[in-house]
Amino acid sequence: MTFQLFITIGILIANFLNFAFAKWIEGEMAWRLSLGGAIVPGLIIFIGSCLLPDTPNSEIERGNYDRAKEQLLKLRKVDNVDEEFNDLLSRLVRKQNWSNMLG
Amino acid sequence: MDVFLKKFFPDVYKRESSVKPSDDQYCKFDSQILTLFTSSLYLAALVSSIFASMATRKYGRRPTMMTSGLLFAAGAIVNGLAMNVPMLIIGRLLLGFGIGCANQVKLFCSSLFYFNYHYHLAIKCVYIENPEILNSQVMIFNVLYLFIQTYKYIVNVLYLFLYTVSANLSL
Repeated sequence: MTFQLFITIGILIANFLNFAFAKWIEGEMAWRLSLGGAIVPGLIIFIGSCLLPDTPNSEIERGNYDRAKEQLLKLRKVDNVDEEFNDLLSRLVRKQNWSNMLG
Repeated sequence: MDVFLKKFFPDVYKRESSVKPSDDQYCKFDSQILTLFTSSLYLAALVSSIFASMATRKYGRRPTMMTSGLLFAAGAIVNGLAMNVPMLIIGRLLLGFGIGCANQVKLFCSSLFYFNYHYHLAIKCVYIENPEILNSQVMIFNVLYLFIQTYKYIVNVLYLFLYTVSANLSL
């Protein structure tokens, strides 16, 4: 739910910014700002994803089991994550069976 | 908007500014280049999301998200410094590629949860998001409209109240 809320808030902010640029800035600078303003969310995504680790899920998919377990421990903040780790592994096996069947 | 149209799409601007209420108002922005400019974003997003999912499977979610941020920023720069229509369209294509790659953010968010739930979350995001945007915009409009209406109502009541008070006082 929060995901959609943030997307909508972003659209609202963009609408307000467009309105402000159109109203208070004269000439070419107005549309240049409102088109070039998209650099801000782009940089936020770039910097944010530099700081984030990868998810245990995709680590398992690529075969890095140790790192996946490390991430899972960090994520869940408990001592023993073997059960969930094994669940994830069994899911991967199931998925591979499916893709073997389809392809 | 006018400056933008005058610079890049003079034909559309001429048509838009010369239209009279008696004319056919069906589509003032009927220009293939203009619609190419707007829809290139969606086309690019469509194409790139296919490749983004392949890249995510191979290299992980994080590199895809990083490229999406970079592509988005590059598109914004090209668009902001645009000198002619091809530059606008190229910038918009870059933005679209960024959006297609940024679709993987959803996957990233949902795969942090316990895996039994994450398919539900990912699918829910896609199917609810778009109607939700329309819905919320309608809602914002309605709230603003209601606000203005109540404001008018309150002002009217206040005015009547003050009027009666002052009339009584003067008697």
